[in-house]
Amino acid sequence: MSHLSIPRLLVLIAAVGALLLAPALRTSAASRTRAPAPSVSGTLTVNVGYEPASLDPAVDWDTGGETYIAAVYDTLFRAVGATRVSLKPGLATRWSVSRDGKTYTVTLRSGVHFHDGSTLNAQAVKFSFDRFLKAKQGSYGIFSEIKRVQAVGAHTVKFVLTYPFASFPQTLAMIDGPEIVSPKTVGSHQIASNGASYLDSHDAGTGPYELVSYLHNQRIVLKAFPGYWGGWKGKHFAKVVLQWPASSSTQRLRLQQGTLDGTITMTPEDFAAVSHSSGIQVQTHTAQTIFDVRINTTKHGLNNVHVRRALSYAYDYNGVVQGVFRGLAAKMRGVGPTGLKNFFPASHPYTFDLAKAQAELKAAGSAGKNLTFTVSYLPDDTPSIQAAQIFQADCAKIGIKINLQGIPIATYSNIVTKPSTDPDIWFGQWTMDYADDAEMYWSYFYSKNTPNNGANVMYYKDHVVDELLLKAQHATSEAKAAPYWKAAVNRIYQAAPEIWTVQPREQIALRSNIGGYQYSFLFSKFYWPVYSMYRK
Amino acid sequence: MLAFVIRRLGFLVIVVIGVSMLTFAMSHLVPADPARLLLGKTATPAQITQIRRGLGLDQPVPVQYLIYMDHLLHGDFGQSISSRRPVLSDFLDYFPATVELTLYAMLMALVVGIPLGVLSAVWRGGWLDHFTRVTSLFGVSIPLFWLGLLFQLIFFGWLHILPSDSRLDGNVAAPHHITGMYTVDSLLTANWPALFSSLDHVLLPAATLAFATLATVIRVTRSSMIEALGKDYIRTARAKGVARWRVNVRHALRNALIPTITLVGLQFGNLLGGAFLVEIVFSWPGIGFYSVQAIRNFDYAAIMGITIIVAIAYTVINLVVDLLYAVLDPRITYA
Repeated sequence: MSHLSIPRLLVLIAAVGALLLAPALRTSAASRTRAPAPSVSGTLTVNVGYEPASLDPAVDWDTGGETYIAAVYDTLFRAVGATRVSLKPGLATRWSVSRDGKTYTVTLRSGVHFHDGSTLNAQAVKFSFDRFLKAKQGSYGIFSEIKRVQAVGAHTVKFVLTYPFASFPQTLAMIDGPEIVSPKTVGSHQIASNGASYLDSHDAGTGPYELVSYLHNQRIVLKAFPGYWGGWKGKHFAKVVLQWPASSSTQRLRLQQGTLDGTITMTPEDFAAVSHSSGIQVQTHTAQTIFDVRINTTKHGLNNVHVRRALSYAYDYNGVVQGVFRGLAAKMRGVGPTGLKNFFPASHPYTFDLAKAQAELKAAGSAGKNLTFTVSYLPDDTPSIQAAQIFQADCAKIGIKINLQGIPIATYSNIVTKPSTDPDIWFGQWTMDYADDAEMYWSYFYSKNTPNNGANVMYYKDHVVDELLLKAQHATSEAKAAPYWKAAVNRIYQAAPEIWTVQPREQIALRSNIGGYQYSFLFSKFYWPVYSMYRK
Repeated sequence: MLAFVIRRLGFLVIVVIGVSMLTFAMSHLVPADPARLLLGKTATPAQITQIRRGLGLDQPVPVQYLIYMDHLLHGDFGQSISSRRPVLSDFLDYFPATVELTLYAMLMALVVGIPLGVLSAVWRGGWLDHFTRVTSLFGVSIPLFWLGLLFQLIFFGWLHILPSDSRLDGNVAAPHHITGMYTVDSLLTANWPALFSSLDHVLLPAATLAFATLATVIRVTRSSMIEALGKDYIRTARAKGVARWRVNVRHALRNALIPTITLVGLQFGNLLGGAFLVEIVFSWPGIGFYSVQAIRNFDYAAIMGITIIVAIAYTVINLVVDLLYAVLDPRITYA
């Protein structure tokens, strides 16, 4: 074998080095120029937090995919509002419900076209729901009450349910699941059992934007769909780039430099820093996510209502709001978040009062003595960890010993399935999927909705509450359901199977020259309303 | 030579079996249920049972291991819970980005490190020698993630000459996939916008990753050059009147490079480890970025697949380095 001479090798290395260094001296002008702005122009680049697990609305069910799904696809109704949620027409203009509450008839908007040029009709809606429910992926469990979907006219669809479900129209406004897809594009492409889907790389929507390219693990690029049924009056972006930069410092630098127009997942320190930068606005909005403390009601000591109430009085709500959330949160006033349907504020809310906690322990008798519990949380859930440490110190003052333990989600999702292995006390978070607190009441407190069927990780069981929840869940209208929800919630609140702690506020950082941003209370900061946004 | 290569490939098989047994055992010691994670929070018990059966999770652990190895031999590394794609597809997407980053980091370390090491040895005790000593100390002491943030601040934040993250500008389309390394693919397809953009983007993360290796390359080259310059054959060459640069480069450096080449092989493993941090800081979609996500989600198929593949890569790199010795030094032979 001939040997490469050393001088030649060095020259070669130097040449490659020069090639490497050359671009550093050249500013990428093309990436920083903006086209002049007629009404639909320019590019919006935003951080959506995380890469979506799938671009198929029937498969995806994560916050990272919300912006893409909502930009490319439409639902029959839309849930809008920054502080309270209201239902607005989407692809459907109105709905009616049968007397028995089991059949919903929906009238579709006319003149709507898919990105492939085909026209929206009742068959497309039936096709979309059949496909979604057959795949049994993503959020399909929320729609398990659907017995069948019928196209009864060109623009009329009937949803037949197995039982009355007053919140059904709210579920039709969810992002991820009930989006309408084009039968022409999807064709015979079925969703594989492992979730792999044709729509991961194709777009079959009616939304304002259509998919241009998806560079896996880097970005998604969208462009305005000229035939969008909502029209293009006013200012809009012609192109939208969705990214998910991991590092907070990178997000901050890019925002300051203007190569990122909006971001959501920076650290509180970086949000504070950019709030003083010129050309950047930081908005703060109350979120519907709640931080709650779930108590395993089957464990010794915790099966006593007085002990549970003592724990509710030993939680320093305001201390956590100020010390952990830096004031960016509010003490919860009831079982669920404010701002959604069926929220009922507690008449006598728990407060941080160690004297009352002591009194409750005394009322518990022998069950209130020599108590030791383990408080668990996700190892990367910093607010919960800090709140648990405050709770540990306060419980020590009333004679309850608390041990702290971080448990990864993979382990938690397994051990929670049995009351014997379910953690004593879990510091967690909950976000509503559709605009109704009732989703939480039903999933959390109906005794049969233990972790294999729902979210009752407290293993809370009260037959009176069960009856009330069943009546509410199967009511034929929201008005008829509300009194049952309220009665159930009042009883649950007194039983204290949870400590209802705080409802945080979320921060969003935007370039100041971006207009049209509207926070979505239901879909949180992860949803960017790209259609309404524009450059000033 | 052939016998040596075959023997080393045999070791490779043993390494793969060892690593797979270890990672499999560790993955299954954790009380987590992959079926529940795969199906999500609305899964019914019947579905979980069905998936558990499909994945073979209802079998004893040794049987599960044999099933896994059987699938492995057929190129099936399992399915990622996070991406819902085969782990091998994910790997083929992410790994080229890491290889590209690592190669450029190594190239930078050699381009800068070898000349500096040689000059430090030739001018021992001079200002350049002192400068490289301080630089080396700085390089091995400084945490990579901090250096990355510093580079971002200087070159993106203040000077505005390099991008902060990712592999391409937002307005540049990715080159046609050939190797998955954007600089190579864009060069092969004559896609100049993608070439310049990808070079722009690789520079900062590669420079960050190169820094620790650069320090070691300088120190090792310097010491072996000093040793070589003291040998008899160098004195003889000088006595014969051979030009000084020729003595230094053709006679001394050639022998001094052997320890550096050894180092390059060993440092590849370190660079892969360092890439984990650098990829997070620069949102570089490589295998480190992917692995961190997999660990956070307890994506056990992804964790196991990546561990095994990286172990294979590491072993192959070491084999290649051993073979390079023979190329550089004809006195070395393998029986």
